[in-house]
Amino acid sequence: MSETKMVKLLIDGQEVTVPDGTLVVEAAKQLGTQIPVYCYHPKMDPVGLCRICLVEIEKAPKLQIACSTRVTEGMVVRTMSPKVAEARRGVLEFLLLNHPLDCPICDKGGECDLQDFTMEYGPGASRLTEPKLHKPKRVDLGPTIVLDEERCILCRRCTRFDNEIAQERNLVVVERGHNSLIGTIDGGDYESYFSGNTTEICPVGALTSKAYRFRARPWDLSHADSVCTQCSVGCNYRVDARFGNIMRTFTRENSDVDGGWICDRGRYTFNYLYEPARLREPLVRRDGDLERASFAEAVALTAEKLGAAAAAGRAGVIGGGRLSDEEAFALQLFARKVLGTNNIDHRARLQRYASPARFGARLRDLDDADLILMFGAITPEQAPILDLRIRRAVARNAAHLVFVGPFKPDLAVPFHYVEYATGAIGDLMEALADALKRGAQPQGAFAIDLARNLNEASKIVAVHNGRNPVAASALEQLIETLLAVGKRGGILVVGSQGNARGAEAVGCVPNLGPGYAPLANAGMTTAEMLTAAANGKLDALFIAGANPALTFPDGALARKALESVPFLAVAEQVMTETAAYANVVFAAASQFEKRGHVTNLEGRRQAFAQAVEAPIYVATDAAIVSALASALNKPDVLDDDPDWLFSRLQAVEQAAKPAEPLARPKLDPSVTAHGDNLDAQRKTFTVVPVPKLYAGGGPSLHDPGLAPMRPQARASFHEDDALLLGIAQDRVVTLTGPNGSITVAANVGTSAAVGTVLVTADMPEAPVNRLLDASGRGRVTVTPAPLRKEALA
Amino acid sequence: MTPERLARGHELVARYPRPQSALVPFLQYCQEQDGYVTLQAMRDAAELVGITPGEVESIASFYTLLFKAPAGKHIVQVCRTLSCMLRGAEDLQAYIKRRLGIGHLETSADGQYYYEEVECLAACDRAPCLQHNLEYHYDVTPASFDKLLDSWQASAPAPAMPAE
Amino acid sequence: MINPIKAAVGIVVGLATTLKYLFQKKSTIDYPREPYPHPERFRGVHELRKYDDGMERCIGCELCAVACPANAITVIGAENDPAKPVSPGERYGYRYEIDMLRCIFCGWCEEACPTDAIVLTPRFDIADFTRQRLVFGKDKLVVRDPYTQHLANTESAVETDPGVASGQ
Repeated sequence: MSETKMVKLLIDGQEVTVPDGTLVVEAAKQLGTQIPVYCYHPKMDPVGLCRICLVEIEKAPKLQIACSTRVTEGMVVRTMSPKVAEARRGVLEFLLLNHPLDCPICDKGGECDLQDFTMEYGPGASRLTEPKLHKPKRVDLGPTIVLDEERCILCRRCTRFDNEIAQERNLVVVERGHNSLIGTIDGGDYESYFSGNTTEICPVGALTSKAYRFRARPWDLSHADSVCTQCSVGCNYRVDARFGNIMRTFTRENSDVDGGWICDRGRYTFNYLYEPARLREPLVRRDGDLERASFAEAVALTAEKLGAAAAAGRAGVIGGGRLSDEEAFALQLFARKVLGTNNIDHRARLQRYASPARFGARLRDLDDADLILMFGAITPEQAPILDLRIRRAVARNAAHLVFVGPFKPDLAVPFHYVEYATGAIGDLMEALADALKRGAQPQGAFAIDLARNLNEASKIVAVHNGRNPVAASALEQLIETLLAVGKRGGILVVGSQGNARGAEAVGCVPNLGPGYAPLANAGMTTAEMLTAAANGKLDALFIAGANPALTFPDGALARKALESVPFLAVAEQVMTETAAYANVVFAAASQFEKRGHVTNLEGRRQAFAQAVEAPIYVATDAAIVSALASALNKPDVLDDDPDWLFSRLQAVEQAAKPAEPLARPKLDPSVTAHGDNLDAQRKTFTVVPVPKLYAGGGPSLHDPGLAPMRPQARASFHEDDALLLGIAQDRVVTLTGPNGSITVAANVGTSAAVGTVLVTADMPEAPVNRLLDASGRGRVTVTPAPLRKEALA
Repeated sequence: MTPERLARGHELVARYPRPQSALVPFLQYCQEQDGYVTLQAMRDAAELVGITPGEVESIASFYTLLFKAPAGKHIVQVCRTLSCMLRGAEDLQAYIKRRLGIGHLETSADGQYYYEEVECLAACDRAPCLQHNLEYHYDVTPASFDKLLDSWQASAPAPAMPAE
Repeated sequence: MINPIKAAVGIVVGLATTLKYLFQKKSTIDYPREPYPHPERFRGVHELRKYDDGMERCIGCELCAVACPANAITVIGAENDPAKPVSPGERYGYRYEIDMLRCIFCGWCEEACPTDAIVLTPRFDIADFTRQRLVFGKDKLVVRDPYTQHLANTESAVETDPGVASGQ
């Protein structure tokens, strides 16, 4: 990088040295001098709309706006002169002309920039005697936001966010002059995965969130610095609670991780805690029904059955991805030291690796990457905040984005789409790595294209979904090759669960201990455990924070296993499809009700604080396993104290001797690296599960805040196939595989490849895993449901 | 999008270095055909020039001469800025509203007249000024307005918008 | 040695004083049969007033709660159902509680209230047998009859325009 020139300037008589090109407002910030701003936001381009930031600059004939004026050598800036004060007073008087006196009922009241700056710089009274301009109040702007047009001061932060940061450009200013309004086309809904951020950056109370509407005032709230665990990005946020109930979440900027934004799934997923579906006490199955029981009873029963099964070597533990690092560590201690088995696996989904073995990248690396390769990972749905970085890199730095996968996803920025069946990606990557190494010409138009892109790019980041082992190692080879020729690059693996990488790192895999230390005898993987259970070879299963009945690719196997295992204990926050099969259900604390650490997809371990107390009969997962350990006469192995667990974990990790390169988690024997060939006759269709941000069981299913955004389970066909099958948009179809069938409404378009059908994943009402086998492949026949008479008429 | 509209759109896009520049001319063209800028026209325009429908709405709603609801064939705009007001525009406005039976930004029930009070029409020397479709009428009084109205009823209205 | 004459005089003077007060106006009152004559600005039990149209004045803004030096007030706001609003505007006080045992009757809540909803009335006799019953909720605080509020507090009954609260 070229050396940035530094310039020296005087702000209010104080000297400050900043890089050339810095904005005056930012330079003042370094001195701790606050210049009021409304339209300016550090993450967005300056526009100079609101004029509140006027400052006096020597030799400039008029006051200048600090938010768009860049510093120059020897500049003399005054931010507190009488002239500036007068200008601010004037600007505020104008801003307040039509601003309603809503402060007592406004959700922003108490943390409102307009309120604060008016108190600090504004005039005491308005000279306006005419009636104020009236605009619509309580405008329903979509599933998450209420807009009060009267309060809006037209700073356009929200529209610029939607334009510059989210790159979606649906929220705009309509009309003009004093009639300007914030809106969408034809008053439609503002639907975005990031809509909640606009409520936060709104300097007034114009955009307010429905979830928080009139529930508290800012001074009522207690704050806890937490980390979102809805996906594997690990955005930092603050959880605000009142009377021990969570009221809202608020960003807590960590530029290395979230860049100051959070997605709506993360922001609004907390109200499930107060729903009837929330488990508030342990349940024990008596005479076929799950009934309320005491914690002691649940522990005694589980310890007895699990202990007996473990003594016979017929016990297994599944889960870890929802837990904190400490708890995942406790879970594997419980499995290995208490139950004496290596049958522990956090992977209850298609994902097989939660981390790259080599060349791990950082999220920051996406910012200056000039080629981003997305391999199967649908980042807007699986890691939205990571996707924001990609959007910015593509839109701002003209990074080249290539998506390689079995269907064309809906991305906000232009990308190059390469259709490749999931399994076949590995072959492609091997060929490419070969081509780069030897300079051989790769086969196929796309491969040639990609090879050229790879040659031109200087920094390459690959985003992988960790599903295909061949693709994973081929990617590593590719990056190795690129690094060898002096390029930079790395790999990010998007985790399937919030703490998938943490669970992997602390040893919730059958063949690796904490710190990726290889173990002599590997235990069983999830698939093996479920197969064993289904065949009567396992006596007891303990599942903590996993929902294999819904998410395990081979749903038929998972359900059979859960049904036939003699004893099943599940620790969950809400009733899930898996918990419904259990003999004992423990009510587990949510991430808001405990403290600890989680590891995000780049391997960053972040601490989170406890925001609220758990209901009285709800225990943390660590408390559950340590109670079980005590009941099994091994009280010394475990403790439920997160600090104790964390110091133990650190000690164990430091002592661990990981293989170089890292040993990979054990694969199921059934996993095949290579894809399924499409049925050329198109009698059967290959099923491709498609992740959706708001899909899923458990919390996201029961959260009332997410309910309006919840997708419908859909099957998408390519239009050619739809024609062949005689399916129109919204026609209900039944997809039948060898082990089961689901009935969903159809989408017709071009996102699905010919011969495939895209099915929304993780929808309890139409579980796609009825159609798949353990390695995630499945073929179905499609039968359109008969049209009803009224539909024909 | 009808094929002819699409063809016209492509023609307009080809005229400028950036496709976005063709947006307003295209909307004018659509308005000429439909009488106003329909929602479909905005969606078509978005597709044509490669921006989102929201952005089209933002631009379309900015221009007061792009109508977002059906407007009358005769568009009557009376200046309400200082010079005209001093020269009796207020009385004229009241008279016209009474005569046409409609208010500011309204269209008469028969779809003939659309009335709007606008800012300065740049004819202060001959205030009060009135714009009817593309024509200016100067020194308008209630009496002369009656005459104008008769003449408009007698003849077909001139185009409401400048050709793009 | 006690002087018997002096003593007798003392008794007579003392009884004379007694006799004098016997015929004067009594300074005690026959409480509770007789009302306690409170000063004009006496600050007693709170009351949540209504507008004349029956709408509650309280908008649930919690400014009284934040002004309260004794932390005696708890307010939870909620959104008005536009079809059946409780107060003008969008927000109303869904729950409003004052812990009368904690309250120091300073009147700051009254000062803070932007809609003159909460006022301190001259009523003071709220003794009860449980602490629980001395946490007054909306059932005890809201004036039932919109017309009695003028009697209860003569000050500023209608000085605030209802439009202020609704932002109209």
